[in-house]
Amino acid sequence: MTGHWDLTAGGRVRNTCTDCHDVHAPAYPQVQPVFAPQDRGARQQRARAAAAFPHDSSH
Amino acid sequence: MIPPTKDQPEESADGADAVTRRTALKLAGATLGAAAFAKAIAPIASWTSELSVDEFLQKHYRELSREELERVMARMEQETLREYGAEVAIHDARPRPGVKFGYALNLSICVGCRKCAQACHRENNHDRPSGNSYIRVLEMQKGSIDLERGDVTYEHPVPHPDKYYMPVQCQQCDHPPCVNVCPVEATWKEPDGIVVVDYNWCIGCRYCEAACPYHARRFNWTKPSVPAEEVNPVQAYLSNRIRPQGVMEKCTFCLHRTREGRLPACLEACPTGARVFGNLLDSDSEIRRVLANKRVFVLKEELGTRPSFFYFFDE
Repeated sequence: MTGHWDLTAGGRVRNTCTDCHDVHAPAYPQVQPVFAPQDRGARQQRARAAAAFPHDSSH
Repeated sequence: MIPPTKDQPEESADGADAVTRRTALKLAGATLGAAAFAKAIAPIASWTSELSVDEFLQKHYRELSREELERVMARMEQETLREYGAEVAIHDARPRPGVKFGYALNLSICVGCRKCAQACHRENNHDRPSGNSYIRVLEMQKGSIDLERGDVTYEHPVPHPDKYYMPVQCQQCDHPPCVNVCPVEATWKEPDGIVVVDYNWCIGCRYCEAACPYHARRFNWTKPSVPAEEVNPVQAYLSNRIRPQGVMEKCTFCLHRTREGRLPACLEACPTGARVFGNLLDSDSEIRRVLANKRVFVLKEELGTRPSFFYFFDE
């Protein structure tokens, strides 16, 4: 959606799902995430999670 | 033998004109005084060409008159042109009466693509090399709500079938711990609910960063580096103007946009429509419909921070 939250100040444009997706293949395709965090906090957060839950394979 | 009086310095044992204890104490005191004075004027001694007299003497945002603020913003525009080669327009976006902003996020349809974080990075003139953004997207295990187990560094295609995704940014708390701990009142809550920072008043102590339970504040470790062609020229004093080195910054719900009725950049970038933004005081607004009809929750409710940011799942 783009535009305004305050409709007295301007309009907004909202896409429906079928504007982009084939209705005959309705499952969302997987996408590659963009913009991986590079900051120190993100690296520390991952290290903390790995240390706190060493047997968790999700990290 | 008559003992020495107050005005008669005691001679040394060998009778020579040695330094007396009184003189030594005076000398030590003078040395300490000089050292203290040198320390006190150190900010002036370390004056750099990057810090103008006007900037050094600038008053707090809330103490500036309209005319003074206009002069300050004009000076900042000139500085941005000189230092970044970009022509920008800095304005003073004020809260609108009868508006309190609220944000909701549908966790059922967020796919974790991080487009919101990227949009924030561009909109708010973040430092490019550090990839800074006010939004972190946590990849969470389905069935868990433990933020500490969320992973922000995932790189695989999304959405992963066993995961859900939780973007976290400033929650614009009604009881913001970050505001309470600021020793110089450089951060405060505005009438429309936005917690803002006067970047020119902040001393960079990072108390607010430590106090925020949502890890929503960022510190400018270096002078932000943004190529001239990538600088967003539409800027506001309290939001996305390029921040100085050594100060704190945070999400302002893009107040330079939202106080003019526009949607925040992160919402516009969301490809699935997971984000809902609006005026909590308007009973007909979309955000109010979400609060009335969805089972919303807030993060770390037990802390009593009363966030203006809500999360929900579709039934």
